[in-house]
Amino acid sequence: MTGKIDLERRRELWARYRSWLVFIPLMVGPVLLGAGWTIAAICVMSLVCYREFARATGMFREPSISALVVLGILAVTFAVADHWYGLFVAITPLLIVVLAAIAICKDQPTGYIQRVALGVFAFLLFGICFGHLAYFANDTNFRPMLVWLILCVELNDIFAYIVGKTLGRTKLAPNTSPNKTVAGALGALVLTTILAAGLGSLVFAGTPINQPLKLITLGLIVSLSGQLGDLTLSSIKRDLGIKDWAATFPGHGGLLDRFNSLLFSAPAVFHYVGYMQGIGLNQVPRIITKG
Amino acid sequence: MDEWEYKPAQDLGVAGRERLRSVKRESGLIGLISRNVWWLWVRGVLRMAERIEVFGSEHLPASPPFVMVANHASHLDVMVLATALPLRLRNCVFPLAAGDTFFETPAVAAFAAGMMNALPDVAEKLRPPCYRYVARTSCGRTLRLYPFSRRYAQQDR
Repeated sequence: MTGKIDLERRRELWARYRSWLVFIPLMVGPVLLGAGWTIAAICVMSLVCYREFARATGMFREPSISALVVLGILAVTFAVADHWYGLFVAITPLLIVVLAAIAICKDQPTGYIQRVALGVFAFLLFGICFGHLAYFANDTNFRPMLVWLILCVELNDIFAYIVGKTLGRTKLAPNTSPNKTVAGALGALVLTTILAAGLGSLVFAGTPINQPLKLITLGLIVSLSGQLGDLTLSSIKRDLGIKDWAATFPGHGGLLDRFNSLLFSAPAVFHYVGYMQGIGLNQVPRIITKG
Repeated sequence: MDEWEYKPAQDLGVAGRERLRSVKRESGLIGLISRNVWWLWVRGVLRMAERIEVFGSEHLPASPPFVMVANHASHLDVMVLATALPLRLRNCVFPLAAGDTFFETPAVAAFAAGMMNALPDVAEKLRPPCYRYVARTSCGRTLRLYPFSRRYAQQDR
């Protein structure tokens, strides 16, 4: 090992660095501004990610199903903004029923399963999974929690990249993601768990989670779910035969390439924290509908 | 009946102005909504202000591809021909627009591509119009060619 990096890699790293300079304010800015901004920003992120997914899978050629998924994402955003968990939960089965019914209207049995299944899958990924991320905003302690989660998930990717490049020999899943290594995955698991538990002791200070075993479990959940989200989206990309979801950000691809790890981490962490201490329990529910 | 297509957009990986100018450009829900709003507005203006009447639209083929040619040469032809089409065909319209006029600045290019679904005819002085039509059909979708400016008429003489 000479310690030098080739020109192409250097350019890629610079492109990634410049993209991060855009990403960081876009991610942290709304969180610092307030709950409404956070929910709105996550809604926009969900819609952009869905657009990338639809264009990559060919779903965009089905306008009625696409429109329903978009409406579903907007409905989830409304439920989150209203702090109405009952509606948040109810939207999923209702949307599946409507989606399956609307798909019949085209009177085209060929590809019915693919159309409906892709629609449901897209809604679950970008409506529900990202919806859980937005739901954190209903907690009074949402700012440190969200910054902590985003930081840990993004650093989880970076740890896997650095450890994989430095120590990686054995491929983790060569057909799914040729650049990922076992060492990278294990390194990220260890480093992210330490980081998440360490920072978590500050974020969750004075709450039932603030115990070493629970914090380590939380760290493991963040890292494992992050890596699984990344691998899942990589599987879909390989199935479609594409490298990136879009070409929006130099060095990163699309927005979905950057936030794919958050897809699984958000609901996993949400339900763990929710089970341990609850989320938004100290806030008035149904802020808009006044139910 | 359209077959289910489980394949990425042809312009996947192309971004920004390059995408707006790409002959492979495929739009989704946003494009569909903005185009329909645009054509609806144009149709209303043409009917109310210009008193345009459409005859013989029943002779149009049920589905693309086909070619519509105007016997007149102005930018208005695009509007008139497109709004004369039934709704099911209007989303298949790809007007060919002069690249040096409609795709020069990002704002105008976004309007031409987003609202009108226009494609830039950047090599219009080099190719006869029929080639431009062929270029589009080779992408797997289609529809049509507009004799778009006086330059064509002069060239074809």
